[in-house]
Amino acid sequence: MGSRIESTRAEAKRLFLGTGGVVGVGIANDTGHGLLTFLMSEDQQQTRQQIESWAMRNEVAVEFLVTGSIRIRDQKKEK
Amino acid sequence: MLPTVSQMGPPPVESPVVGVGIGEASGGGERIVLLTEIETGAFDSKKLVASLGMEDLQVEEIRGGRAISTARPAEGGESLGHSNGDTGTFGCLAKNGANVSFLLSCNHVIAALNHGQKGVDAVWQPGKKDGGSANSRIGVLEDFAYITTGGHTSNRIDAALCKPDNVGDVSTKITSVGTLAGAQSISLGASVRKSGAKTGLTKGKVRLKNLSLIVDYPGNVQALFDGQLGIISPRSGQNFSEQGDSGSIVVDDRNCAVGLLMSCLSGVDLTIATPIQEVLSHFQVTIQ
Repeated sequence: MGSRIESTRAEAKRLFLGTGGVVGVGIANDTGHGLLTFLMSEDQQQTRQQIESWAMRNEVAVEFLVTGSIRIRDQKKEK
Repeated sequence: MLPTVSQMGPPPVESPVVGVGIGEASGGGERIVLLTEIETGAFDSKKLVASLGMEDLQVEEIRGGRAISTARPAEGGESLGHSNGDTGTFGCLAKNGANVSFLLSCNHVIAALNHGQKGVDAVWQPGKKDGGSANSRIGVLEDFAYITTGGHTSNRIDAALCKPDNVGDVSTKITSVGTLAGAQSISLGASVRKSGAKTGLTKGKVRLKNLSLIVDYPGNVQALFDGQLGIISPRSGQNFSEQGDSGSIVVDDRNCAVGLLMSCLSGVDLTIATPIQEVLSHFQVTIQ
């Protein structure tokens, strides 16, 4: 099962990462059909719908976390 | 008659008080002195003594920031930084095949985000933002993993090594964690802990694995990272880490190192950590 969710994740990364507000994609559950988590810089309904349609075709569950932009260093606090 | 410090009791969880002592009161006698980390309207020392039935007690608040250890040997979990002011956490000690010890942290903490000069740049403990200065120098930047920007080329780690000037100045212990029992991979759902310079010891749970993410850096540059872990706090309303904890070592239930904390998100409770084996194999070092 692990290899299937890994390949599905890789496909999701190729299709969605860096577009439509998607700033991250990872595996939240690697059993059964698996669960992919998409990190979103902002909640974009159109992107969600595209991902959900893709997920149905690929028989994988998805969830969305609106995280904002991911910053290694807080540019205001600089710490 | 002043109450004893123990009678004052522990401060509330959200209290900014980081120290309690006794000082001389105006007009003679004694007064309670509270050392506070930050100014906050939510904390009122007069209400505190009133709640103890001691309205006549003189209380003085001194805002001096958080107490930061400058003691040697330095332990993992304590503040560390580059001489340019970047500040984060000293993760742990690692050693190479020749048994030379290094402090492990992040590129963006001690290597000036790719701009550090190996063998030249000073590393301070504590870091500048925690009160460090040139007198706090603990070693020199030894090596770092270059972070490729642009958002398309995959990066695996944000990590760097510092060679201590004096190996006696560093400890294999991690504050509130103890000595590490080696390195290990970690599974989804596993319980973890970390000791960071900003938030101290916190507990977490592995929420995501094999996470690819695009990270923003100052100057509108982006970098793609692959193979990361996402960690959350098991306690609602709390974060596993905050800014200043970068470089912390994440450990499992058996005190094995499992990750190097590289980022926390400001809006939600999600901390990004790199699987520790990626870091160790890059530098060809082992946990000490």
